[in-house]
Order: sequence, then structure tokens, then C-alpha cells
Amino acid sequence: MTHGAAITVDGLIHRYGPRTIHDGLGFQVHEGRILGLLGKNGVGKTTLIKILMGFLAPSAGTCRVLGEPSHALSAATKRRIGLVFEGHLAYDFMSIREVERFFSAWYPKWRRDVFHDLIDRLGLPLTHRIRHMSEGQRSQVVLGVVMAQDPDLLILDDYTMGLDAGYRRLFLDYLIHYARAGRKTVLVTSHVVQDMERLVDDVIFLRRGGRVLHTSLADFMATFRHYHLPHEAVPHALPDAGETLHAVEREADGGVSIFAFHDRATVDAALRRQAVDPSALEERAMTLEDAFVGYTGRY
Amino acid sequence: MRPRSPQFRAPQSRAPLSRPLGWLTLALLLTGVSAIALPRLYDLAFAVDVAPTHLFYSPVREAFVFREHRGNHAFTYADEHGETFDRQTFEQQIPFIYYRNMALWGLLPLTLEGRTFDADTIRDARQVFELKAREIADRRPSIAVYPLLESNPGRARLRFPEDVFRMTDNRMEFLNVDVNRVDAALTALFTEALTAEGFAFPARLVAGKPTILKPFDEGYLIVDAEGVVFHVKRTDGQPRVVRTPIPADLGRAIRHIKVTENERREILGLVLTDDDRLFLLRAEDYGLIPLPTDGYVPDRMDAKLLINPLYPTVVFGDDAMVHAVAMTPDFDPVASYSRPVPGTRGLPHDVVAGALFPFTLSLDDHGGAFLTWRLDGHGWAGLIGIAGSLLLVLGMARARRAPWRAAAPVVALVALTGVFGLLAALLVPWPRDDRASLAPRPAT
Amino acid sequence: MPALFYKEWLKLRPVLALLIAGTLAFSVYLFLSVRHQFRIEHAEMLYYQANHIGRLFYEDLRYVPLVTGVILAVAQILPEVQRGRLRLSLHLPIGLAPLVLAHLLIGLAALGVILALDLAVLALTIGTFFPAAFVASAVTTALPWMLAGVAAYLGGALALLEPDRRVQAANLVVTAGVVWLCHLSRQYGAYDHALWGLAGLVALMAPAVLLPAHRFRDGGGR
Repeated sequence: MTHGAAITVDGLIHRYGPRTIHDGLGFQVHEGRILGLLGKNGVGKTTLIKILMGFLAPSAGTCRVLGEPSHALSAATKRRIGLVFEGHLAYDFMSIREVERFFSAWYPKWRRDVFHDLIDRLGLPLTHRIRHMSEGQRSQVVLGVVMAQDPDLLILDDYTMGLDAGYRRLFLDYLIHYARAGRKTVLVTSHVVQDMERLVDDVIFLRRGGRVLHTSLADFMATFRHYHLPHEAVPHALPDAGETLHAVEREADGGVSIFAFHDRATVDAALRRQAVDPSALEERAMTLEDAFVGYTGRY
Repeated sequence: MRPRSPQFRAPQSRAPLSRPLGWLTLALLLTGVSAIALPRLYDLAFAVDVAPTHLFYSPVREAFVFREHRGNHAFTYADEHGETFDRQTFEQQIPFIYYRNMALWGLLPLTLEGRTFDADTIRDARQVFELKAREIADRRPSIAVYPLLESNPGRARLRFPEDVFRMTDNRMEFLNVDVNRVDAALTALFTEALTAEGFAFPARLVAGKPTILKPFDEGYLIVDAEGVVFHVKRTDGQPRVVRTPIPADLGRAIRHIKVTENERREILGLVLTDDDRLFLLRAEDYGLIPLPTDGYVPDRMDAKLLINPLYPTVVFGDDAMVHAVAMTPDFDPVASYSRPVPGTRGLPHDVVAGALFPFTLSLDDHGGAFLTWRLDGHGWAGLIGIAGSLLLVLGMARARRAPWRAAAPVVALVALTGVFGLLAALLVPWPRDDRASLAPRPAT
Repeated sequence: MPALFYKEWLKLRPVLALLIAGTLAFSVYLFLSVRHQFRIEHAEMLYYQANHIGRLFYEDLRYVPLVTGVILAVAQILPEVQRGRLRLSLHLPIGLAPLVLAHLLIGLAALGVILALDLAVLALTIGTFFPAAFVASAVTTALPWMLAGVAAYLGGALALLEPDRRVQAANLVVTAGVVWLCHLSRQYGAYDHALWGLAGLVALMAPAVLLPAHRFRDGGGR
């Protein structure tokens, strides 16, 4: 499709007083894609997600969601967007049945089956109040509500927070199945990067200073590599990161990790140019989390 | 006709009106509240004391004398020709007022115009009738339920009956206060007595003094539907109704009757008409004695009639002017005098307030019993405060780099309301220009 | 829109029950306190005090609507702003203004029920011991107190929805100003000629809530 962008961010600028958080940020999320928004704390991830969800008007630039400015969505467009807020926000004073009765009134396409499929697994009576639920139980109700809305676009802000491994897995499995089966567009953030590996098609890395990398997960994992230089082979002066070497980090054991979007030969050549002997260099396998840390840096 | 481009229309229809509406109402609210509160706080902090001018007719000098407040609790005593006195001399000019001091100073008996007055004759002749603006029936809330006292109590003090009456559309209805129920017998008794005298229901006005803290009881003067004034009393438990000879056309114009129940029993009370005429109502024959009160504005002024053996004087005024008319014992005008009251006008306190506040909004009883809204403009001086406030708000707009669209309503508010709007500009977040970010990107 | 009524009903149910119970308890107290007066003093003296001296036998009611308004605002709006929960409603397929005004309307309707109950209790109590003219006077005297309750409710909404502390304080000052204007006189019937202006001022507070609501949505929500 030609106008297949579910989210378009262009020239986005946001400032809090004198602090500039985003300065000319731009990217697109295409329909039907699942995108992970990754970045360490303090790079403006929260600000961006607020803008995307429509709870912060950007200082300048555009942020369009399903074709409308995100902070001035029409009712019809809001109906097509499902939001999961950080901490699984819900109306504590409602019971499960009341939650369904309330939210289903707003969504003509309400999927009762989807809601109850998820809820039934909790094994809770429908009269159970959200207030009395664990974080994990509440997260299932929240996911059930959002999925039952049958939205075209889902935005999930740190769905993993407060969930134990079991509920995280449950949440993720449902989300993956639901998104793939329904060709939904999904934008997620999470502290647990490794979950993303199973979920997302694309990733956006936000780095300090507003640098952005938007790529497919497969491409990223295929091209981004981790090389390790053991302690004995490490020269007195660490090689500089630059054109070829994305990042150079000293490990706790004295060895050095080198991250690059290049094959062994190119990295070897770059090291030699800096008078470092690459013969002891070895490539190591990476999880997404390793790659995330390697790409964004530890500090 | 120029076609409208859809790009032009779209942001127009999407710009939410609710935000500017929220700003406007909150800003107006703050402006309104500060237009009431700030001048009050200012007065609380800087107000200077004022006191009314006391004006009398001196039978000694045959001229008006007065006591005037100069500020800081200092007073000037003088006569209308500019001669000033000390306080004691002043009091000696009006011996009928200060007759007790006169006696102390050994100046009684006193001979004036060939007549001799001692303390007793002065005291016996002295009567004071007063009608304050706040007393007038339609200027104060009231509950139209009245006790009709036994006017012949057979004992020294009056006491309240265990019933009250109210005038309904067709009867004078008595209620027993212990059980809060209609007393049918008493109701019938009084209603019949009224009807027998030709009373036309419903009553237009009921006037009396429903207290036992008075020497005797004269009951009520009740104006009927046609303007006839009836005098109703309860004597030995029985109704005593007098159809007074007051002409009905005058009766229909009666605005207020103050029943005075004065010891001398010569005067039943004061009668005020819609056209601001003030009368004394004679007890003997219900005759009305007009008082020479030209320029009397009952809604604003208090009126006082000081009766003494030689020159009964009526004094009336507000906080700006005081007027007095001296009369013969038969209430024929002899001399009159008016004098401005030195108020706060022109004092630094007042000048600063006038310049600082372009207007004052007040919710106040203005010395009465009802709270009323009033908007007082402060004239051209107010432009000074507006100009200063405008400079400040324009400076704020510059400092904030506020876009014209956001600043314009704020500046307009300040231009209209001065310092009050400035307060709103400081405290209420300015309307933001949402349109910039809503507008579609320009086609390249 | 009926769904919003449903949500607010679920949320406010317990506090409404509490407020109604409180009102009933207060009404018993009010009735007994007036009856007590009639037991220890002669009725005709009490009539004299009520009418001529201007003693208000129902003076204890004065600040009850104010407290009711504050409680209702807190009960309705605090849960919405805690953790930015209002974002859930703001994302519902409905515009911000209708959403916010519907919430206020529901709150005001609930408040109206309680204030009407207050007035009914007042009328019944005074009407038991005094004739109708006293009842009318008591009700008109209590009307500005009721307006103070409405002002307190709307002021609570103004302050609670506002994300910025300083603006929150300013909104509270405005509210305090309006509430103050509702309690200027101790004279019965003093507001008989001023009530409409006062009601207009209080009414301005309702659309004013749209500003903090917008500010909440455009950056205040956590």
C-alpha cells in the first residue's frame, strides 16, 4: 500500500522549558508491522510515547497517528487505537463484568470472545474487583479490554512492568498471536528487551542526542556484531570507536567488546589501522538484549 | 467566490474551541473575583476613617452649627458662617440637645425668645424620630408574620402573645406558635372586625414594631388593597380597628410606615411615600404633617427629626452631603442649610485606588440589609492603572515569546480590566496556539 | 454517554451512600436541636428571635454543602488523576469537552440530589415549628450556601485536574474567593437580590474546568 503508514513522525521537536528532548525526530511505522521502541532511560522514550498516545502536544513538528495529529484525534480514530498504559492502568473500582460492560459500550466491534478467552484463564469470578487483583491479573484484564476493542493500532507502554515471568509470557503470547492473526500494527516499549525478539518486526533505537536507528529486527540482528578481544590482547590504549567500530567497551575481566555493523575482515582492518593486533579477536553470538546494550552503550 | 481550500478548512474545524473557552471563563472568573476582593483588601489595608457631619439649628445663634470630622478623630465645631468654637461653646449653642451638660454647667434655666426653659421642660418637649435607609421595609428582608401584642396588658411590661398573625389574600390569619396551627376563632374575630370597617384584602403593607422593648403598644398600621390605612390593635383580647381618614390615593403611594410608639403619644409614626415625601403621622386624628425634605433620597439617606420647643429640625444626608431644615413648632420651614461631608474623595488613599483600579465590583449591603451587586467606574484615572498593566502584560508576552494569537486575548482582557486582568494573566495559563501543530504540513 | 453515567455511578456509589447517610444524620441533629430550643424556651420568644433579631436556627447547615461539594469532587476526580487514570477516559471515542462536561454534569447531578435533600430537610424542620413564611426565608437564606457547595465542587475539579502546582494554587484561590462571596452575610434573605449574579459567577466555573482538563491531556498526565 502506498499510504500504509500507521504512524508518521516528522520533524518532531519537544522541549521542557530550556531542555530539548527531541529535535527533529522522524520515522514511520507501517501498517501491520510490530515495532519495538527501545532506548535507555533519559533519551526521551517516555516523552515520545506520551506524544504518540496523545497525552503531550509536541512543541513543533508533526506526529500523525492513523492520519491525524496524535494529540487531537477524532473520536472515530481513537476508536481504532488501543492503548495500554504503563502500570496497566484500569478503573480499580470496577469488577471484571463492569469493566466489560463499560468499555464494550464504546466499541461497536467489541470482541466478547477475545475478552472472555483471556479472562477465563484467570479463574476469577466476574464479580472480582480490579482493586483486589495482582498486577499480573490486572494486566490480563487490561490486555483483554484492548484486544476486545479490535483496534487497528495498539500502543503498549512498558507492558512488562510489574509482571512476573509467567504473566509476562502469557501477555506476550497473547499479544503476538493476536497481532499476527489480525494484522494489527503494534508499537511497544519494554524494559525487558529480550521479549522483543519474539515479538517485533522492526525496532527503533533512541539514543542520546536524538539519534535514531529504525531498522527491521532481522536486519539488525544479521548485521550488528559483537567481537571480543581477550584481556591479554588488549593494547594499552583502547581502540577508538568511530566510522567502522560502533562501540568499544572494556569488560569487567579486562577484555574488550567491540560492536560493529561489519564483518570480521573489515573490523580487523579497522583495528590494524589503530595499531591493534586483531588476531585474538573472536565473534560472539548475541541476544537482542546484548545487541541493545552494545548498540546503545552501557552508560 | 473564492473556493476554500480543504487545507484551510481542516484545521479550522479541528482547533478545539473548548480550550480557549476554558481559558476565557477561568480568566473572567479570576478577574471578577479580584475586582471584588482587591479593592476590599486595599481598603482594609489603607482605609482612612470617616465620620458623618452632625448638623443642628442653634436657637441661640439662629444659625446652623455643625460638628465636622477632620480626620484622625479630630473634629471641627463651627457655624454656617464660618465661625469656629471649642466643644463646650458648641454644645452651648444647642442647649436643647446638650441640656444635661447645660444643667451641669449651671446654665439652666435658659431664656430664649422670651421663653424660659429648664431641664424638665426641655426633656418633655424633646422627641427624636429617625428613618434610616436600611430600615425601609422594601430595603430589608422580612418574614411577614407578626405578633399582635395586648395593648392593655394590665401590668408594667408588655409581653408576647402565644400567637402571630399573617395577612393572607382574604383574612387576617392567626397561628398558635406552640403548635404552629391556625387559630380559627381568633382569625375569624379579627377578619370580621376588619371587614366590618370595610377592609379590602389583600393588604399592601403591614407596619408595626414587633417588640416588647417599648413603653406601650400601638398595634399595626395596615394599608389595604385600595390604599386605605387601618389601625389595628388588640385591646383586652378584642380587635380594635380604626379606619383612618388618610386619603386612599396617598395610602396607595405609601412606601413605608415607621410606628414609633413615643412616650408623648402625639406622633404615631413616620410615613414615607414612593415619591420620597416624608410625613409625621399624628396620633390623635391620623393627620399627616408633611416635612420639608427637598432633596431627600430615602434609598441613600438617613433622615432624622429633632423636635424641641422652638425649632424642630429635620436633618437628612448621605456620606456626601448633609441637609437640614429648621422649622417652627408648627413645622413651617424657617431656615435651611446644606453642607458637603468631608469624605475620602481627594485623599491620597482614594486617588491611588482610582488610578490603580479601573473599576470596583462589589457585592455589598452598602449599609443596608440586602447584598447587591454594583459596578463603580473610576473614570479617566483608571486609565493609568490600565496603561501600567498593559505595559507589564506586553513585557510578559515578549518574555514568553507568546505568539500573537495566544497573547491577543490576554492583552485585550488587561486593556479592559487593568490590574484585575493582569492578575488573571499572571495566574491563569495563557491560551495556547494549537493551530500551528494542527495545521497540515505545507505542500512542497 | 450512558456508559459514562454507569462508570461514575460505580465510582460514586459508595460515597453517595455515605453522603446521604451523613445528610440524614445531620437532619436528625438539626431537627432535634430546633425542637430542643422549643422545649427550653417559649415559642413566641423564638419567633421573635427568628424574625426580628435574625437568629438562624439552621445556622449549622451553613458549611454542610461546602463540605459535601469538596468530598464529592475528591471522590469523583482524585481517582481519575491518581496515576493519570483519566487518560483511560480521555482515550474513549468521545471529544474532550463532552467527556469533561459529562463528568461535571454527573457530579453536579449527584451534588444536586444531596443539596436538594439538605433543602428538603431544612424546609421540613423549619416547617414543623414555624409557618410557611419562615420556611421560604430559610430556603432563600440557604441558597447561597448551596451555591458555595457547587463552587466547592467545581473548584475541586479545577484544582485536582490542573497538573501544575502553582496554577492549582491559583485555582484554589479563585474558588476560595467565590466561596467567600457566598458567605458574606449572616442576615436572613440577604442574598435575595444578589443570587443570580452569584449563580452566574459559580456557573463560570464549569466551562473553566475545560482549561485544566486540556492542560492535563496535553502534558499533565503522567
